[in-house]
Amino acid sequence: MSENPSVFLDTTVLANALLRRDAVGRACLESIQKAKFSETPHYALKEFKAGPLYAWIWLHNKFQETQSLASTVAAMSRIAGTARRNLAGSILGAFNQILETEKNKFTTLAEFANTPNRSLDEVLSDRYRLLSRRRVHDAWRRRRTIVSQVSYPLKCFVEGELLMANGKFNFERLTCPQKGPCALGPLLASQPESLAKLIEVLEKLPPKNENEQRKKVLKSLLRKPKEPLDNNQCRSLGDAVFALLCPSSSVISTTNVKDHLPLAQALNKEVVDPTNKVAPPSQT
Amino acid sequence: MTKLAPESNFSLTSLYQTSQEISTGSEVARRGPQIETGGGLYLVRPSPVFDKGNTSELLTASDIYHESTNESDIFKAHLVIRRARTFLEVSLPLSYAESALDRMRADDQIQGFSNEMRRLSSLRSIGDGFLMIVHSVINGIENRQGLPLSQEQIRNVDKSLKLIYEKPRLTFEDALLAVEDLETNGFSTDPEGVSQLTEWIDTVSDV
Repeated sequence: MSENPSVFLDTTVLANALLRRDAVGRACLESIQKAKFSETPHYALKEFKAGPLYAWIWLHNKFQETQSLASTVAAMSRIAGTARRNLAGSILGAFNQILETEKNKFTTLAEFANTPNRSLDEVLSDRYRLLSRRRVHDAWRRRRTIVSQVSYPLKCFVEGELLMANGKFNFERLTCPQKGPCALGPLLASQPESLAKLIEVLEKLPPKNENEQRKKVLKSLLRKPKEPLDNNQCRSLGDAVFALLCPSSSVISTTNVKDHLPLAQALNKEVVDPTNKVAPPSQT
Repeated sequence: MTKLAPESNFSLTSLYQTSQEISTGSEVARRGPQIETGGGLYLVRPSPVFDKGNTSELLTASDIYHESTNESDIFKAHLVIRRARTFLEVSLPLSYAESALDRMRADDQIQGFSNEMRRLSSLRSIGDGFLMIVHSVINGIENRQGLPLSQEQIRNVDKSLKLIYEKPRLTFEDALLAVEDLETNGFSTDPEGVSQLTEWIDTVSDV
């Protein structure tokens, strides 16, 4: 592998480079900038829009709706899925400690010491609402220019316009169209041998809901190559899409090497993690 | 000659309380918006409401200065920005000084400046462009964790304040350009909790 190979970004690297400004985000961005050629499939933009970008949008809109830091943090603690509730809870605990320090800096001022808590809460929530607004705005603006090319355009995926109404962000659609042609299915079904290899490797992996779903959709693509995928099937394919679409001259760039590696190796492709040498971010 | 710094105990509350009545015979006058004339003196401008003259009803401060209106907040913002910029103006030459005591004084000015910026953050009705710059400056100073600002940073901060003084209703997009300028000298403008928030998003969005 050459020192700066062409990279094929998965959604994790794309999202980190667009949304994070810490060591992880910088490492992802630098890996893109240093690469001879960088590309990401349109599918990654679809995942990005419906995943991390949507989470930032939800957060922004929650700040806008509640106009309160305390209420938004309370909503955040309820929203984390069961599987990761503990981790999300400990992150929120650390976040709360920082908020307490921030609050103290403001309450030393006479104006804020004598005003109802509500107005200080509103002022503090502005800091994070504006942060979210900036993240969403910047990420969406740079989504196509951050890479040399967005490849494998999907006609069924409408990027749409990021609209703002009553202070809240809104996309017209986040999912596949209810009716209409599916662009991804035929693209993948044109590689039956590769599909079979991926099914084979998935059979050998330890049972995991994500892998089971993926295997089911891949089998369905082999059996009925002309049948359109629905939104759930499209989402379930995930990592398999990158293994199938990555050109042989490129390497898959991801922070999720563990899941990508067996699929990529089955198709004789390489995987790199641009954050490999980056220490995990501190949570204190 | 070094200019005198504004007093650090200046309070916006005093600006909000502008309805003290002044009775002159049967006439009831009210103090209108105050214009700073320099040297800590304020000129009292007659209220246009009074000029139209229904003197039988007493007016309250909120009749004249609705807390939620832009105009009132912009007026307050102008006063506070002027004070904040004076802190910067005093700080800049001192920050060049060889004497450690002068540099301490320069740093003290920035602390007074930070308080004025926090006061500006309460003027929420002006708009997100205005607030974006105000919070970015507050965050930038906090993120330095007590380290004095460099001369270049003081100049950049002053430039951004000049912008919101002249265009308080600037768009969010224009504010982002100004924030990018602020960030060119290692001035990090994100709030302290950004890494926890980002980690939380990564954990729940599950790509």
